[in-house]
Amino acid sequence: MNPAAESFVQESRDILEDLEGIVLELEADPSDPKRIDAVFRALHTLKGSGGMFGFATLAAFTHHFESAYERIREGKAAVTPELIQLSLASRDHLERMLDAGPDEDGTPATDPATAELVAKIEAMDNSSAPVSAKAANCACFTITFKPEPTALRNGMRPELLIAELQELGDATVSVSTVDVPLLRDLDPAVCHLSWMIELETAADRDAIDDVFIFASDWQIDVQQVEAGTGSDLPAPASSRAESVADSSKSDTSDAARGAQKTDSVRVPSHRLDELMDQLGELVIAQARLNRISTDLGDAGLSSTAEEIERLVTGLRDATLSIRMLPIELVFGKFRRVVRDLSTELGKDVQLSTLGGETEVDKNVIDSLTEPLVHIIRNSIDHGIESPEERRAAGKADRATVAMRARQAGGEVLISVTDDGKGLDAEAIRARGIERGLIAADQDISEDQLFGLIFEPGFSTAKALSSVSGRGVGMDAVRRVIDDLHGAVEVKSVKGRGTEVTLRLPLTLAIIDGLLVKVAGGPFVLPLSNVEECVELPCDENERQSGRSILRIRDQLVPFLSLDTLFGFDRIESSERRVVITSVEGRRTGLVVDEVIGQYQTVIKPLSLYHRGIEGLAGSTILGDGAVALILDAAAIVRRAQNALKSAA
Amino acid sequence: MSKTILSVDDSKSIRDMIGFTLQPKGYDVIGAGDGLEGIAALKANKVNLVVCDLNMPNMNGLEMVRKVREDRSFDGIPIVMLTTEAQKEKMLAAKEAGAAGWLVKPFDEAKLVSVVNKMIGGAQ
Amino acid sequence: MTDSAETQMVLTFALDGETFAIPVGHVDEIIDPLPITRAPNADAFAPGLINVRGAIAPFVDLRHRLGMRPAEVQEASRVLVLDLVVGGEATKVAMLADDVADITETAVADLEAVPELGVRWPIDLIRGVAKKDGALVIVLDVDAAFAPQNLQ
Repeated sequence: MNPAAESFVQESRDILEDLEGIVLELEADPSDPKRIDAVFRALHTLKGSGGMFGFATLAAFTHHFESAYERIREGKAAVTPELIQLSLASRDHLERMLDAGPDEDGTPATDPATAELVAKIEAMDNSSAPVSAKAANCACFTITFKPEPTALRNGMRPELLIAELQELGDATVSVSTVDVPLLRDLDPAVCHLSWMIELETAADRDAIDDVFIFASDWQIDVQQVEAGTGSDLPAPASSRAESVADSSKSDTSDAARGAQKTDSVRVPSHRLDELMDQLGELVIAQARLNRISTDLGDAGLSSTAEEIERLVTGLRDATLSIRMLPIELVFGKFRRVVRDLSTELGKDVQLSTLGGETEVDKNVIDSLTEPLVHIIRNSIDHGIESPEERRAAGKADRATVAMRARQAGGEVLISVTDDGKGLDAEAIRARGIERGLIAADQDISEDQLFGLIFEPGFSTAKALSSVSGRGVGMDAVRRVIDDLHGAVEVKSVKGRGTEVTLRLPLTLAIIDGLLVKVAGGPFVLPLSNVEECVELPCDENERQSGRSILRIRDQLVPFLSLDTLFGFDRIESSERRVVITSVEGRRTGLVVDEVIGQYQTVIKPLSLYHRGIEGLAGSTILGDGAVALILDAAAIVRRAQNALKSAA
Repeated sequence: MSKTILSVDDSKSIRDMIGFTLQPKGYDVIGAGDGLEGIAALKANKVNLVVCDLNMPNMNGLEMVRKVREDRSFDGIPIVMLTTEAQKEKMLAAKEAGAAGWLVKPFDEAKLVSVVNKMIGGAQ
Repeated sequence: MTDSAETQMVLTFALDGETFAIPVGHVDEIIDPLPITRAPNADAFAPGLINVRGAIAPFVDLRHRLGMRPAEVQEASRVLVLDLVVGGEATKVAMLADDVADITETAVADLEAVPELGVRWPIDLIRGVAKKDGALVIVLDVDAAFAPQNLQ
């Protein structure tokens, strides 16, 4: 090795040694910008000189490592435990590369260990972006900007700037059209719009200013909404000194941050799942305690049991609230979807959202994106007319798709409304008959008719489009919502528009159910699907086969025995009741041997031995220790209706 | 269809550098040696972005920006000026005249790519 | 190939008059029979679920898979709770045994050593045989014997 290369190796070893210390310090205080900078600088030096001294392989590898830290510096990623782990592994790898000496023939070589680390670093880039960045160190900015009138002519693209801002974090974009002149005065090349963006980001003010670097002549206003981002607000000297004096290193940084930032704690979601699990067990144990207390009839015990019940309820509510996230997280993704779709389909559509602050369980949120994409695609593709058709119908050229969320009781209602042409009841009926979903002479309500669009294989689009064709989509919506123990409803007025409403439980971990007995075994029906319980008419009780219909007030409701559906032998019971369920707007009666009452229950997933059985959603342990099966009302009702159809 | 970048520069090495950097990123790159050639190239091709030097013979960058912005058929085509720290005033004048952005020389390939992406949102 | 014999600890239990064994590593606990909740529309091999100390375990019917007639719960009947990996998931599985004999160290010989056994039991469910006090002990292939119907 030549002397220059030797000195490079020596210097690099020193850098790597320092690097290890810095990375470990960073682990204790992941948001320290100074240490992030220090890592970045160390890597930058290695990369820069590596190439000059014949260590091209090392330089190439360092480049990837450096890029990961560049993203963190830019606020696009956060320091995570995985990153620390990977950084240490990469550092060790660099040391091995130094040991191996300069590249043989002066060209970069690749070996599996390097490739593996690079793949991991790159995977990190993709996975850690917005959410972790947001959680690491969040600041809220309100950004308003109005491009110069000539901006569009000069080739400025406000939408690209907005997209850049959206990459920095969670952005809520609204546009102001107040300055748009009347059509006859409108110069399409002049920008009359201004935008307001609420940005929640881990990036700092500089990153936002960078976005507007070439737009310095515009009217731009950037305001930080909440005080407390840490880095630009130094902690009071006294508090820092105190904490250094009396606690360990990681404590000081936490304390210092705690003092200057909002009081939030970042917790891995599996810990919440564990907490939820424990709470589930507690709810079960508490049910058992109630039962024992009732049996014993001891006044002291029963008042203690009641006290514990009250505390458990409070604990449950508090725990559930931790898992709640604002639905805006989902809504936010749709601005782009709507924009792209309307461009693709040549339609002018704006998205409005309302109730984004409504909170839903994290697991529910995670599953919502896909069904909402299907619904919105369907709205824009099939519901919204072309601008010409809209004009002819006396509507504004620009169509509106509105997403609204609100909480009602134990449910969250999410609706997607469009002001398009509405569903064509006759076309749906014809299609339903063609597909064998309804009988040609069947008398069904409009709501039920609209419900058909969620049936597998149903599609009324005349031509298949790349957007929502192929007749998949809406049945996928129902499948996901069923899995979430929710329901889908459609309302539509011809010529006026369509509203699809998803009714979802607030949480998936605990459901309110109706405990019933069928053939001696306990079963739980989700209360969200239960409308009422009625007596089983005596004469109907006698009927063993054929189609059974019950008149409830003015409506005829078909019903069926669950024991028949389950293939269980019927047992004698004087307590037989009909549970009237409502699934997708259709009412079906399910006969049970006994209704025990309402029961709040923790859903335990089924093992692989039983997971595939249609109609079972999970299991739970009752107060007396028995295992009860939780029924999937939608699947049960589908099954029941198939059975009723074949019996008819 | 890939986007077309017009590099207007009297230095062949700068034009080549822009070509060698942007072509692998999926852009088509065409070149012009001064402002007059640049405007001719704009008329003859569907150009998505112009990267233009300030100092050039025949028609300099500032004049070219003014000419381009006078012609409404070139509306919406952004012009990025190549400048040095010392030319700040000229650069501001170009901005005033309708340039969309700038790149300070010396610049590296990454900086060029990032400014082009920022201006027109990627090659596709 | 008797020379491939290996020694291991197994739990022996009775089913329909025969002695079966499974490696003790798979046995979590042995408990008294508990009520079983029938799962509607389940296959005959996994007819229900039981509560094992607060955890819900699928209840499997090994007799059915071995082609034996169904048994009543007797005085000596015990529920074996097994720790298995089913379809990649760690799962507790419960089964009923007519009687639990004991835990013993045994040398497992290849099934070919006793060819006539293969006629009586589905051979793919069995890992081998061992001799204990002069009687034959059938050592189960745990993965195959307890695989869910749909994953078999």
